[in-house]
Amino acid sequence: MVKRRTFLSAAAAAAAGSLSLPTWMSRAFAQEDDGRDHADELRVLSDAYRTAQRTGRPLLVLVVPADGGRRWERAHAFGEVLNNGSDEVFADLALAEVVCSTMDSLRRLVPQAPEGEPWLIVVEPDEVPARVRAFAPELPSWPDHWTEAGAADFEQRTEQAVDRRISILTEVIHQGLAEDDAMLAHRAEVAQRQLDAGIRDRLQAALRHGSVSAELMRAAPAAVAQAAHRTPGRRSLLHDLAMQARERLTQNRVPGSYWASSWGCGIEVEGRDDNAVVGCGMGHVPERSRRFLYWYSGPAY
Amino acid sequence: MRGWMGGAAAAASVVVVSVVVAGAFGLAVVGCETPDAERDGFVIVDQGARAAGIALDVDGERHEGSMPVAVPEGAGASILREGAWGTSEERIAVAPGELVEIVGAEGEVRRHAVQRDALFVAGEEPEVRAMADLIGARATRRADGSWSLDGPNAFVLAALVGAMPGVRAVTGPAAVAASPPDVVEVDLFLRGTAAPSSDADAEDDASDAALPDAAALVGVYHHGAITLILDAMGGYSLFDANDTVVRRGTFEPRPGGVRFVPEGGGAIARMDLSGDLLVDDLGVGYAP
Repeated sequence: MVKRRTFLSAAAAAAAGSLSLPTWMSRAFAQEDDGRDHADELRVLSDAYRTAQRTGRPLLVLVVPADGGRRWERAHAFGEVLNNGSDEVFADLALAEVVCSTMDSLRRLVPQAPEGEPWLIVVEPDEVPARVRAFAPELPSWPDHWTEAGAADFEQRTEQAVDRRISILTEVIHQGLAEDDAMLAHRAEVAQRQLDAGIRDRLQAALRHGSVSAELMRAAPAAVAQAAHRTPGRRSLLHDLAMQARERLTQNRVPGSYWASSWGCGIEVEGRDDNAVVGCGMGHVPERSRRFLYWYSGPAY
Repeated sequence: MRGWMGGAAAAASVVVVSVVVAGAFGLAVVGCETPDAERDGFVIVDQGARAAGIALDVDGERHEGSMPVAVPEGAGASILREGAWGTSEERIAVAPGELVEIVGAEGEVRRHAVQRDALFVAGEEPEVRAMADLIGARATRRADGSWSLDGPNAFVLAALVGAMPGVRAVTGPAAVAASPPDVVEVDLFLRGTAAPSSDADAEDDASDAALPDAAALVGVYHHGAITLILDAMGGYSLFDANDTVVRRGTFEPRPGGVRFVPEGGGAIARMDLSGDLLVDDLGVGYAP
């Protein structure tokens, strides 16, 4: 296991020793350049906002720290919950349009976004001014590989830390998207308001029968979640919702990011052909933390 | 041969203007080279120079009017002066994208960059407005009594006009340094509306068009390198190509479009909603 600062030092040492890093890798470790194309970021954010508004969903913003040096831990924590999260968290995520953004870009489009860099922001885009809630949980770090790896309980404490991080983010996402029945009912009402009458009728009929097509599930996930919670024997709908969200968010890019993997021998960014591997042994990443959100720009996120 | 219509149509923002000008000029200009603000240079001979008998020659064709004259790359341009011993000819270089102004009785040469979307003219209001209509521009009276004509490709289209009776002088905005660069086009819909505000309000009141949902308008819109943001607080910000805010205010839905109320007062501008596109009264569209 390795902390961000330690990892950077190791990477810098490796680079200084023998490697000339490609541009993207240089950007990944640069402190002075935040490595994002802000015009493109704003476009992606605007597209996500519009989609959220038109589909009657909240916009869940995963906040990208402006300081590249602070991204490592957050990017991995989001990766942990998205790649290892339960059906419960994905059933909640199904209710939202998810996007990654820096606060600078977010404040251009949503000026009422708060100061600082919370981890998550939920924007309700169904009215102007939009309502905004921010969440800034405290997450434990992984045990330090460089100083603690020799300890007998190192692996166990690492796994506990990852479990705790996933658990905290799961809870925070639930608070933001589906905290109680009233919130779910509101989301279901907003989502159905955006539907054509024909689709709304089909959805209601499908919910009565307990069999909802993927298309209808995408059209008004909050209505499906509400029915699943209210109606005995409909809990399987939550699993279906979760599966759909899991595919959307883990088999595809989360807008504003790439998926990437790190196993201590560099970073491999999915969908990019300019990857590189730097010296092995420079760090260690827990198994469940290896796939993470990569927040540095290419031609487009 | 590049027909000017084809060239004009290539730029999305001048499509509407092209139709207007095509109607005005008919087929008389078909076959001419299309002036292009980046490819061609331009020369203006000002009123003082013309009064002193100074004219312009481009590849053997004499020009004595007040409008800009396009000088295609590779063409020869000369200043023609009438004197006691006849006409003298002084060759001048005109670079692509350059506006050369011949000023005063001595024919002083001044050089500027072309600003394709604006020009200044002096003349009686009816003639000036007729010219503005011809080139699809908005005419705004300036403090010194001259007029600013702003519109997509306004300067370039003026070069197609040739002579314009009643319009006494023409110059580019760079020549008088009266307009900040790169803002002309973004300013278009904020300079004022074609109709007085009260008339526009009455039109809105009488309109059958649907009132857009303010929430559905929020987003980022672009026209070229210009960015317009309608934000989730109900505000708007207009950014130039350098990402500098040039205007701020609040937006309000109106039947079929949006009303822009500038911060600190000023003319309320209006844009129409065409699908997802916001379109100003000159046809300049801002797309999501």
